[in-house]
Amino acid sequence: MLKTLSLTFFRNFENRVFEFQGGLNIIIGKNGSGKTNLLESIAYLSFPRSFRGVLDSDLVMWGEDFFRIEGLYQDDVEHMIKCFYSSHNRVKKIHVNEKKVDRLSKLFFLFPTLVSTDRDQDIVDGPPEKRRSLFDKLISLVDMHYYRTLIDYRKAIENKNVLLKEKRLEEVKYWNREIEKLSTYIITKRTEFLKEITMTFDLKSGVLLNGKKADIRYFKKIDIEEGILDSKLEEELEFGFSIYGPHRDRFEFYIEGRPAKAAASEAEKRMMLLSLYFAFMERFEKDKDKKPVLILDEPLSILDDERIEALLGQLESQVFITTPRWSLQYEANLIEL
Amino acid sequence: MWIPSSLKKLIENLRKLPGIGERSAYRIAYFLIKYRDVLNDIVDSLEEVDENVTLCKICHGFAEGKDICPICEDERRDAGILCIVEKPEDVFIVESAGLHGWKYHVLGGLLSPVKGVTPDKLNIFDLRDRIKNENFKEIVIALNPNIEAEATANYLIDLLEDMNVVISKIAIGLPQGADIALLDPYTIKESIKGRRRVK
Ligand SMILES: Nc1ncnc2c1ncn2[C@@H]1O[C@H](COP(=O)(O)OP(=O)(O)OP(=O)(O)O)[C@@H](O)[C@H]1O
Ligand SMILES: [Mg+2]
Ligand SMILES: [Zn+2]
Repeated sequence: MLKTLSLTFFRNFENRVFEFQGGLNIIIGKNGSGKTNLLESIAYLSFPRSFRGVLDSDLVMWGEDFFRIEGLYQDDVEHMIKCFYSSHNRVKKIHVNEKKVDRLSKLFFLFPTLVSTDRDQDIVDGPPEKRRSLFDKLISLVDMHYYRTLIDYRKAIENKNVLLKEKRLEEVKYWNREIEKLSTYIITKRTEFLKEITMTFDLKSGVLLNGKKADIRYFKKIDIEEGILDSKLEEELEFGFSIYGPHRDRFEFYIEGRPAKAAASEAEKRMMLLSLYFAFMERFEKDKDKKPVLILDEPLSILDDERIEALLGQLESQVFITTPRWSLQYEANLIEL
Repeated sequence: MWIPSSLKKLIENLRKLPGIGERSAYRIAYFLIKYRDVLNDIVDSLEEVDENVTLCKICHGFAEGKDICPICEDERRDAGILCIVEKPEDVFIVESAGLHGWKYHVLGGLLSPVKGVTPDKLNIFDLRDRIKNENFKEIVIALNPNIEAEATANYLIDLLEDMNVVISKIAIGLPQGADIALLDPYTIKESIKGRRRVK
C-alpha cells in the first residue's frame, strides 16, 4: 500500500503531505480543488506519465520549473519512490530507495495501479482500437512475452505495409510467414486471458450490474493457418495496407446479450469496465503476488445508492476514490482538500 | 564560456561514437589531454585500422592489408559449411565457439522495408555462386533473434530453395536490442550443436 505521499509544485499543490490507509481512501473537495490532480500524482509513481495524457511540463505548478512526487510504498518492506521533473532542461529522474531507476516499466511492477476515470465509458463504446489496446495492455502486464511479441508484430506489420504501398509483392511472403507465427501466439494468449478472467468478471459484473448479465466477446479478424495471409495479398494490395490479422481483432462488451454500445447505460458501461479491472487485479495477483492499487476518479456521482453500496462492497485492495461530497457511514480514511 | 576550439571539436567528434553522451565525451577528452602517451597510441591505432582493415571480396567480412581474408584463404577449412551472419564482427563471435573448418558470408545488413533495406542492398548477389563454386553442403544462418532477421532468413531459405544444401538456423543472441556480441562462447557452442534444420 501507499502510506504517504508528498507533493512539491505538482499542479496546484505547492507543498503538501498526505497519509493514506490500506483500504478505502476518500478524497473530498470542491470542483477544481485538485482531486484528480492528486490521483494523477499517485498514478505517476506507478507509471510516470499523466493518465490525462498531458505533457510532464503541464504538471509543473504554473510559474515554477520543477515538480517532485515522493511516495512511501509498502509491500513486504518499504520503498521510497521519488519522481522529479525539471521543465527547465526537461529531465525526469526517478529513484527507488535512492537508487536510480533505468527502466520506467519497472516501477509498475513495484507499485502496480489501475486507473478508472469517466473516460472509461468511451472505452466501452468508442472505436475498437481503444478496447484492443486496453486488453493488449492488461495482458502485457501479466505476460512480458506477450508484450515483446506485440512489438515484433507491429514491426512486421509496419514493414509489410511499406511493401504493400510500394507494391513489392515478391517480398511480402517473407514477412507474412513471421506475422502468422506471431499472430498465432497473440490470438492464443488473448483467448487464454479472456478465459482466465471470465469467472471473476461474471461474479463482479453480476453484483455491480444488479444481476444483469455482462460478457466480453473476442472476434478474430481471421483464423490463422499457414499461407492464409498470402492468399489475402490481392485484397490487401487494393487497400494499400495490411487488413488481416490480430491488429484488426475486436473485443466487445455485451449486456444481456446485446452490444453494450447500444444497450448499456452510462453507469453500466463504467461498471462493466470496473468488473474487468477487478478480474484483472485478481489475475495479476495470482502471478505477481500483489494486488494493484485501484484509483477511481469520481465513480460515485453517476451511481445510485444501491450501486454505491455494491461497488464499495467489492473493494479489496487499497483504493483511492475522489468525490465532491461524502456522507456514507463507511470505514474510510477521509482526505479533505 | 571560453574553451579551446580544438577541444570543442574533439568533444563533438567523440559524441558521434555509440554510447558516448556529453558527459563521457568531456571525460574522455580531458583524459586524453592529460595522458598524451595514450592519446598518441590511439592516434596510431586509428591510422593503422583506417589503412589496413578492409572488407574481404569473397565473404565481405574483415580483411587486413589484402582483398581476401585469412579465413577465405584457409584451405583447411573444408567442412563444407557456410555460416551466414549479419555483420563482419559476428564472424568472430561464431568463431569464438572454437569451431573448425567453417567459412562465412556476411550479409552487411538485414531486410527492412521500413529502413529502406531491400534485398539488393545485402551481399547476396554472389551467394549462390559461392555455394556452387566452393561446394558447400550445409548453410547455417546465424542471425540475432529479431523480426528483421527472421524475415531475412525466410528470404535466404527461399533464395537457396533449389540448391542441393541443408539449411539450418541458430537461435543465438538475446531477443530485442541485445547483440550477438553479448553471448559467451559456451552458449554459442551449445546452440550450434543443437541447430535446427529448416531445409
Ligand atoms: N500546472 C498547474 N499549476 C497550477 N494549478 C494547476 C495546474 N494544472 C491544473 N491546475 C489547477 O488544478 C485545477 C484542476 O484540478 P483537478 O482537475 O484536480 O480538479 P478536481 O478537484 O478534480 O475538480 P472536478 O471536481 O471538477 O473534477 C484547475 O482548476 C487548475 O486551477
Ligand atoms: Mg476531477
Ligand atoms: Zn573472406
